[in-house]
Amino acid sequence: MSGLAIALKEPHVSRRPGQTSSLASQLRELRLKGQLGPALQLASQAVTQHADDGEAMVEAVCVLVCLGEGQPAAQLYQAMTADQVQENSLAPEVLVRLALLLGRRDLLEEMKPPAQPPWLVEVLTSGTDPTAILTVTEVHIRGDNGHSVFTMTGACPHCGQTLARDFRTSLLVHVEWICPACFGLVGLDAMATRAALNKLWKGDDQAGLRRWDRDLIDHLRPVLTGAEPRPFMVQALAQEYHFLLNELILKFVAGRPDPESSP
Amino acid sequence: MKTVFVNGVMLDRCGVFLQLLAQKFQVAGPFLGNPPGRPDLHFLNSREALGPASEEQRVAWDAQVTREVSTLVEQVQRDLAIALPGEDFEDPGHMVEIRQQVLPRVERVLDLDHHFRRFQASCPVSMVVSGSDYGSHSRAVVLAAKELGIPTLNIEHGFFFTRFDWNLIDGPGVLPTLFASDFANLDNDLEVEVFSREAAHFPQVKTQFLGLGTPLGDTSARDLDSRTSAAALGLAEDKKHVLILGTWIEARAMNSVVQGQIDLIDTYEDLFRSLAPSDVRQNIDLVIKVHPADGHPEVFQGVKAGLEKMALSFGLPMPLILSDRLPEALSACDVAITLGFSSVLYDIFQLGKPAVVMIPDFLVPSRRENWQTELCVPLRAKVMTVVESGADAWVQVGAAFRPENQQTFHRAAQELKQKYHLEYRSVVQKSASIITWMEEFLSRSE
Repeated sequence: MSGLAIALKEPHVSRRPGQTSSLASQLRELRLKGQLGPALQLASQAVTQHADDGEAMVEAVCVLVCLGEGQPAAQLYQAMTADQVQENSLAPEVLVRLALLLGRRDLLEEMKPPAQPPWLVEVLTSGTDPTAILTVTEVHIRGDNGHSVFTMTGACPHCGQTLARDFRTSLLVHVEWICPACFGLVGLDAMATRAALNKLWKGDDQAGLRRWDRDLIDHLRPVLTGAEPRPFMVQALAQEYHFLLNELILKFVAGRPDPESSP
Repeated sequence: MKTVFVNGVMLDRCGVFLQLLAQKFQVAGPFLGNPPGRPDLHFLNSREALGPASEEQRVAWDAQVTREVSTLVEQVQRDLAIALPGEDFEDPGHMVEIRQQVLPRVERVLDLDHHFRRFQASCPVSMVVSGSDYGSHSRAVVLAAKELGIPTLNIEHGFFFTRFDWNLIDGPGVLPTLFASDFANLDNDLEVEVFSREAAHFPQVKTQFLGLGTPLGDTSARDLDSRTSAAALGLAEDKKHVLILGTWIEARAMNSVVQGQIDLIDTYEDLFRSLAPSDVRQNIDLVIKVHPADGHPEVFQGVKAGLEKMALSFGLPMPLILSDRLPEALSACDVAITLGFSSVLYDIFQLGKPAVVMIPDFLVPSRRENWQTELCVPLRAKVMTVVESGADAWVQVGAAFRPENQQTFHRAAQELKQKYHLEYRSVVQKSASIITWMEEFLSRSE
């Protein structure tokens, strides 16, 4: 843990303009977009092929911290050379989150509270690590082989960063994750997801969805039961044909960000 | 030995049936392989047997894909215009999306169709046995077989114990089950009666229904001891065990994709809120078995945490939340609550346990008078109860614990079993019945 301890005592050293490595930039961009899967892949590549790029190594640590992978993040940070650490030390919020992931609150004792982000101030002054519930501003829905995928987008209550999170199948959930910008804890629970749906999907839209569904089935019933002629492919797909139409309706209409535009 | 072409009947669910079938017929199919450790069995993987298609066949196939995609895209545009009259589905953006959705489906259907026809040409098939032929995974083979004059038999993937009476749900927005095979084999006389009545509404449906038994591997907890199961799950010995069985919301029914999520959260909240002051609270351990869709590793942790947080918010002890171990959960429970009508209600019935069906609003199947007691045979027989509120659910759970009600329930269950021959039959017995019927049918056809 020596590297981590050194960095806590010797906070961030700014890089001079023009010195940002392109790999570090790419990692940072992916992280801030919340694309942590691709970011992790790139980070792995950076570790194996560009270990001399100190800034990229720091970004790789940030990606691991965002993913909640405390041990690998600490090991990677410790593997950096003293010069790399001096030139590319981690931001305080990353260090604190890393220490919390490792269960090492003792490492925070000598740290002075910075002005922001607020969650960091709270951790360092009261010891509380607050989870802020994401305020959802947009809901997109898509179908994936019969499963709903809800994308909930909103602003991080700690720092204002725009965050998007996919929920597959169920919204009766409680999830927490680390904001890729400020490293504070963000969460969504069933109360929040329900409130988002209630706010963004109005009664008329529900009635509209029900009407579409009913009208479509009534239209399809004689076709699918063979009372009316139908193309071979409709016969062969049968109920899958109904699903196909519903998935397309979902794509064209239900996934629109602005429910007011729905008929 | 006659050849039976099997399509859409999965080895993991109907393995016993397929293994017994292979003792009497050559069993071939595109998804079959030989089960490990059973060198005595021989399934013929029809794809491996055939090898790749010829260049000429591939060219013909490509041409048919192009034609069918074009036809289906036009059909989709027409049908979408019915549902959404204000939209222009011929604009390039919509066209791309429609083609993207249509193409893989057309390819899958035609692949099955061509594969079966090629196989039949090289190895004549006596009968096609399909799994749930209303799905596109097996239907193309059934249609091709019927065209070629080959008899077709459908095997089901679950039970229809609580299948609604068509008379009570016939109305706007309801589709019947779209069987395609000459014969649809069901589990019992109750299922045969309900589906025969339903089919009578559609003269075009020529399927005949058989009640030889649905040969699924046992999912119920029949051979488990309830005390042992409860102990294995860590449940208190001195308490009653109430099992809530979850449901899920498919993205295929437009009336539920959004409202269903809201209603489901409301339903759990209602159940937890009502349990907090309920008389039964102190006497029960609560177990929640989520639906398999929510039990997926990517989903389960979030759902589990969501349910735990909600229960704690009403001051309830932490419920046991399971993604699997259904047999043990069924064995251990004294009463089950299902969210909507579920296939597992038949397992619960077979175990001799009462069930309460809590209906989230989006699953209310009918607004007709008395639907809560008339909708399906088990409701009319009073072997389960429908409720629409959490408070009523816990009242019914409390009632189910009373000895006099248990006697009434067991009498009603016995009468229903006798009327429809619902006595337990093992998967071996059911499989043997189907295979005997197939042998007799094919010998008569010769």
